Amino acid sequence: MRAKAHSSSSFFCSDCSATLLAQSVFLLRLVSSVKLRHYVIRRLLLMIPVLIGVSMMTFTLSHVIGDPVAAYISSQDVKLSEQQIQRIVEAHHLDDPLYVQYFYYISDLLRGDWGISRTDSDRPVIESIQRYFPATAELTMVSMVFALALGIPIGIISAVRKDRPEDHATRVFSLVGVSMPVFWLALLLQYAFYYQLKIHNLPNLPSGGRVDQFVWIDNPLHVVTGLYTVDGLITGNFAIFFDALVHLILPGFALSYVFMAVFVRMMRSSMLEVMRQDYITLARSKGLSERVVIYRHALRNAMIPTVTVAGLAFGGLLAGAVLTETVFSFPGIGRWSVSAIVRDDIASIMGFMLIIAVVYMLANLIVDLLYAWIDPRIRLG
Amino acid sequence: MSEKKTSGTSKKTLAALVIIVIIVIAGVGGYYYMYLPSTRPLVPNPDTLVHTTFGDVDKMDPAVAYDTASGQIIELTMETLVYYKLPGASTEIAPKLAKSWDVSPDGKVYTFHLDETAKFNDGSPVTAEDVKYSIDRAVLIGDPDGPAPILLIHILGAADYLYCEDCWQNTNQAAVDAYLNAGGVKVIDPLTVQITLDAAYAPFLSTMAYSVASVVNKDLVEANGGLTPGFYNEWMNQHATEVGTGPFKLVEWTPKQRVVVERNENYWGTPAKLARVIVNEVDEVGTRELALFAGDADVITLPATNLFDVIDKDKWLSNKEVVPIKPGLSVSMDPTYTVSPNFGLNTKWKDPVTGAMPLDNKDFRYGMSYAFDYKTFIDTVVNGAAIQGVGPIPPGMFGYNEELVKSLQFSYSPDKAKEYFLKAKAAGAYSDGQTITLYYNTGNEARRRGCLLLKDSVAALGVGLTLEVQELDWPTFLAKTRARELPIFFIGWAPDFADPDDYVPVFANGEIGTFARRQGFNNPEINAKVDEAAIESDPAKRKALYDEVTTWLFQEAYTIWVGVPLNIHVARDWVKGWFYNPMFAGPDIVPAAYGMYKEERTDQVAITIEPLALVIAATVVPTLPNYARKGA
Amino acid sequence: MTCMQDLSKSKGATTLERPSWWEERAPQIRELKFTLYLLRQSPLVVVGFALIGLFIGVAIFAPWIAPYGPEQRFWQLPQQPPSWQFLFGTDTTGGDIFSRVIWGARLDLVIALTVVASAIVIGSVLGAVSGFLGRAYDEILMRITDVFLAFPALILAMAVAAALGRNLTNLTIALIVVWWPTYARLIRGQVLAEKERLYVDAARAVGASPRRIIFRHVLPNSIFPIIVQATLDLGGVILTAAGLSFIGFGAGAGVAEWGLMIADGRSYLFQSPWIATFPGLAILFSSLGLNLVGDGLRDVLDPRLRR
Repeated sequence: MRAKAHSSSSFFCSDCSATLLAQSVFLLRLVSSVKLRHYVIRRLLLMIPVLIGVSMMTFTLSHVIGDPVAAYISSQDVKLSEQQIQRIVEAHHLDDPLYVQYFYYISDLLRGDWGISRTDSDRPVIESIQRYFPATAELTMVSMVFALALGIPIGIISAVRKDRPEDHATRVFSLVGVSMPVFWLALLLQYAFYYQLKIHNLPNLPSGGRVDQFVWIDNPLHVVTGLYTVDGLITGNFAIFFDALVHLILPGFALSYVFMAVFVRMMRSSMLEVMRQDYITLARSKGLSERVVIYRHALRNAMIPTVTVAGLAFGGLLAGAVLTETVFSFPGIGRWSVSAIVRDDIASIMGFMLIIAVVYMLANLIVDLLYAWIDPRIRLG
Repeated sequence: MSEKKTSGTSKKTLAALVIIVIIVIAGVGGYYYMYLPSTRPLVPNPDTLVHTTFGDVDKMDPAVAYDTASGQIIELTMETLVYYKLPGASTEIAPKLAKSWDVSPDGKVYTFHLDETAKFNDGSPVTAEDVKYSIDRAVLIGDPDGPAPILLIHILGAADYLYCEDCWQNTNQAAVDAYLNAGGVKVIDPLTVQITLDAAYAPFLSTMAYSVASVVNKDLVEANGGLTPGFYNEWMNQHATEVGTGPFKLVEWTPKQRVVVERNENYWGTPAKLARVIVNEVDEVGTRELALFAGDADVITLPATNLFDVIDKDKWLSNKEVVPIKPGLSVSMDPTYTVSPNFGLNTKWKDPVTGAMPLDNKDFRYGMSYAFDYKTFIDTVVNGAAIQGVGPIPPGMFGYNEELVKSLQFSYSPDKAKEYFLKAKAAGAYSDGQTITLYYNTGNEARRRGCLLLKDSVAALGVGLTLEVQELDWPTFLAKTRARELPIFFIGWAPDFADPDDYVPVFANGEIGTFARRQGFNNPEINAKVDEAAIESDPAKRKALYDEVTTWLFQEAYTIWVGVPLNIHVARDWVKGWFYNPMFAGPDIVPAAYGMYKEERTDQVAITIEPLALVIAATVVPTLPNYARKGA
Repeated sequence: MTCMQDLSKSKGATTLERPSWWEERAPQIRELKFTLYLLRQSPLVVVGFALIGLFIGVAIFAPWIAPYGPEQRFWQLPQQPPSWQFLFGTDTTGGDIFSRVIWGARLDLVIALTVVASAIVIGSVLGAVSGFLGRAYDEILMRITDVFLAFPALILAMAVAAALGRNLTNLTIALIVVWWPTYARLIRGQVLAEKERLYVDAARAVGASPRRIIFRHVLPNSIFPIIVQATLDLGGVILTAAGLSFIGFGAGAGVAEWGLMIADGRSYLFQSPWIATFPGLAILFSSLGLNLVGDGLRDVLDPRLRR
C-alpha cells in the first residue's frame, strides 16, 4: 500500500495485484475518455496542414525545379515530336500559372492519378506502390522487432552497468551500428550465412528475395494483405509462411542493426534518468532484489521515451530499407525508388516521397497516441 | 545477502564457462568447415534452368517490346514466320511458322505459306488472319520507341503511318485507314499471307525474324482489349507471352523478382528438353556470383568488368584462352553483332558561356579520336572482352570490310591528338579553359570508366581542354536533347536484324537516324547512298555503297568508335546443349527452346572462395560479448 | 573624481560602471571549465576527440600527407592489393585508395561543415524571428518545419537532389534543406524560454531591443545545445552524404568521395575488399568520433547529470 502512495510517477500500479481483467477494464475506460478522443481528433486535424505542405514540397520539386514534362513521359528515349510533348503539356496544364498547376496536381493526387512509373513498366505509380509497399512494410516491422528485442535488453545492461566496461562496450557497439554503412553489413551477412553455409551442406539462409522460387511455384499463395507471412498464416499456407519468415531474417537483421543502436542509447538514457527517481530508491530500500527493481519498476517508465523514439526510428528504417532491399533483391518500395532515382523517374520519386511521408506521419501519430494512452499526464495535460 | 552473492558469482562463472566453450567450438568448427571441401550429390532441379540477371521485363507485348529482358521471353514463347538456321551461330534465314515463301521478280511482294501443323499453346491453329493482325497491330500501335519504326518500315503504307507526327497517344483514323487501304499485308487464304513492300528491300526476311513480327492469336487479343491504334494494350503488356506458338509459355511474372516459363506440352514442333526456365532478378553482381558458385543459379549475367572473377586473367589477356578458375563452371566468349559503346559527338553543341562550337571542327574531332586509349579500354577496362570499334557494321556481317576498317581506324596517339587539338584551337574552335561534359548511363561500369579514361588522356595533353564526367540525368537529358545541347554521349546498337541496314541509317542518315540526328549532321548525299544501299539487290554494289558510307563516317569522325563487345556466357558445366547465336536477345537462355538441358551428375564438387575471415571477424566478433553476457 | 577612481579600484565594491564582458561571463566560463573537466573523465569521449582530431588533421594536411592526387589514376594497375606503393591498394581505375581516402576527408569535412553551418544560420534566423514574432507567424513556421521533418532525412535529400540535378553543390543544398528545421526549432525554443524570463521584461522596460536580447541572452544560452546538436549532425551529414553518393547523387564519377568509393567497390567485395572497406572504415571512424563526442557532450551538459 505504501508503494501506491508514490505511484503518481508511475502509470500502472506495478506492485498491486490487480488482475489482467481489471487492468483491461481500466484501459478501456481510458480509451473512451472524452479528453483522449479530443486529443486524437486534434492530432489528426493537425496532420492535414502538414500533408498539404508535403504535397507542396513534392509539387515544387517535380514541377517547379525539375522539368515538369518529365513526370508524364512514359518512354525512355527521346523520339517524341514537339506535337506529342505539346499534347502532354496541355493535358496536364503545364503551361498554366503555378497555382493552377498545383490545383490540378492535388486533384490528380486525390483522384489516384499519381503519374506513370517509367521504371516499373509504365504502370501507374499508385499501382507500383500498392504492389511493393507490403514487402517493405513486412521488412520494416521485422526489423523493428529485432531492434527492440535486442536493443532494449542491451540498453538496460548498459544503464545498469554504467561506466563499467560493459557500458563502454555496448556504447561502442551501438555507435558502430549508427555509423556503419548498412549495405556493407548486408553483403557480409549474405556471404557468411548464405554462401558459406550452403556450400558446406549446412542449413543456410537465403541470399535474397521474399520467397524461394520453387516453394512459391509449388505452394501458390492467395495474396490478401500483401504481407506474405500474414497471408500464409491466414490461408493456412505454412510453407509460404515459414519461407517468407526465413527470407526476412537476414535483411531484417541488417536493417535493424542501425536502429538497435538508437534504442540502446534511448533505453540507456531513460533508464538512467528513471533509476535516479525517488520511488526506485524506495523500492531498493524495501529490500527488493535488483532484478525486480529494474524490470518491474524502472523499465516501464523508461519505455515511454523509447516508444516515442520508435516512431522516429520507423522513418529511418524506411530510409534504410532503400539500401538493404537493393542488396537482398527484396522487391519493396525502397528498391523501386532506387531504380526510379537512378533513371530520374520523377513521378515515381515523388510518389515514393508522398507515401513515405504519410506512413511516417501515421507512425508518429500512433506513437503519440500510444504515449498519450500510456501516460495520463499527457492525456490530461 | 551473502548467500545470494555466492550463488550469483557461481552462476556468473558457469555462464562465462559456457560462453567460452561455445566460442571455442564455434571457432574450431568454423575453421574446419571453412576449409573442408564438400560435395553435392545431385544437380539441383534437373528439369529447370535458373538464370539470374539484372533488369526486369518492361513490356511483354511483342508489338512494342524492345528490351533484352522481354525479348528473351518472347523468343522462348512466341514465333515468327521465319527464323534463323539453328542450332548454331548462323544468321541464315530458315522456315518457322511459314514453311515456304515466294518472292516476286521485282522483289517487292513476299508470299508466305504457313505450316498447317502450327498452332498456339491453347490448341487453336495459326491462320493468315492471325499473321496479318499481328503485323498490322505492331504498325498501328506505332510506339515510336519500339521496334516497329525500324523493322516494319518498308511494308507498303507503314512508313507514312509510322512517321506521322500525330499518331502516337492519339488515334488518327485517317492515317489508320490509309495504312489499311494500302494493303501492305494481305490474307490470300487461311494459310497464305502476302506482304507487299514499298521497295525491293533485300533484308526484308531478316526483319521478319525479329520479335516484333511474332504471331499473336487474334481472337485472344480481341477478347482482351483489342487494338487501339496509337495506344498500348495493357493486357498484352502483361500477358502476351502466355499464349504463343513457342516451345514455352509464360506462367508467372512477378515484377522485379522473377519470370517463369513452362514447357508447352502442346508444341507443334520439337518439344524442349527442359520443363521450366526461371529468370531471377538480382541486381548485385556479388550475389549473382554467389548463387552461381553455390549451384542455386545455372547461368548468370556477368559484366565484363567482373570477368576475372571466373576466368584466368593472364591466360585470357595473353592468348585469349578461356580457363575457368573455379571448378564446375563453363565459360564461353563469343563475338557479337553489337556496336557499342561509342562516343557520339554532337557537332551542333554550343558552349553556353563562350559560344564556341568545338565539336563542329573536324580537327577537334580528330583530336578526340586520337586521344582515346583504345588498348587500355579493351584490355584493362573491359578485361579484353571486346575488340576495338570498327565503324557502324560489326564484323561477320555483310558489308563489313576488314581491310578498309583497319586502314581507317584511329589508334591512341597523344602526339597526333595534341597536334589536331592545337590546330583546332588556332582556327578558333575553342579557347583555353574550354570544358566539355561527358555523359554516361547510370549503372554501366564500363562506360563510366571509359569516360574517365578519355578525361585523363585529354587532361594529360595539356591543350587547354578539360573534360568532365557526369552520370546521365533524365530531366536534364530530356530538356537538353530537345535543344540538342548534349555535347558528348554514349551510343550503342544491338542487332534487330542481321543486315547492315539495321545499323548504317542509325549512325549515318542525318534525316532519320536515331544517333545521327542527335549528333547534328545531315549530308543529303550520304543519306541518299544509305537509302540506295537498303534496296540495292546486287551484293557487290551494296558493298561498295556501304564502303563509301563507312569511309565517310570515319573521315568525319563524328563518332569515336570504341568497341564491339564479346558475349560472356557463364554457366555451370552441367548445362548441356548451349550454343551462341548473335541474333538472340537472350543468348543465355534461348537455346532452351532448341534442346538445351541439364545433365544429371552424382559427384558435383562445390566451389569455394577464400574466406575473408578478417573482415567478418572485425564486424561480428566485437559484438559477441554483448550477446553472451546478459542478466543480473 | 578621486572618489570614483578609488572606488572603482577596490574589489567587491559596488560600482556604477558596468562590469566588463569577461566578468559578466565569469559564471559561464566556470561552467565551461567544469564541462571540459567532466569530458576528460570519460574515456570514450577522449577517444572521440582523438578521432575527430585525426579526421580534421587529415583533411587539413591532405596535400602534404597524400602520396598521390585525388584523381590520379594508374590505368595499368587496377585492383592492386595493398602494398608499399599503394598503402590501401588501388581501385578499379587504378586510383590509390589511401590518397583518395585522405582527399575524401577534406571533401566530406567541407561538405559537412558547410551544411551544418548553413543550417545553423538559416535555422537560427528563422527560429529566432518566429519565436519573437509569435502567434500566427510562429504557427506557420512550425507547420513548415513539420513538413520538412515529415520525411526521413535520406529520402528528402534524395528527392531534392533528384530534382536539382546530380552534382556536389546540389547535394550540399539538399542536405541543408534537410537539416535546417532542427536548428529552427532549437533556437525558437530558446527564444521562447528567454521571453518568459523576468529580466527580459526588465530589459525591455529599460528599452533594450530584441537584437540585444538575442545576442546577450539567447545566444550564449543556446551555444551548448547547438554545439551538441551540431556535433551529432556532422556525423549524420557525413553518413547521409555518403549514402547519397552511394546511390548515385552528389559526387560525379571519379571524384574522391567516400560514399562513391564504396559504391565503386561493392561489386568486388570478395575479390578486392580493400576498395570498399577502407572508405567504409573512414566513414565509420569519423562519424563514430563525432557521435561519441556529441553523446559525451550531451551527457555532460545535462544539468541533472552534472551534480
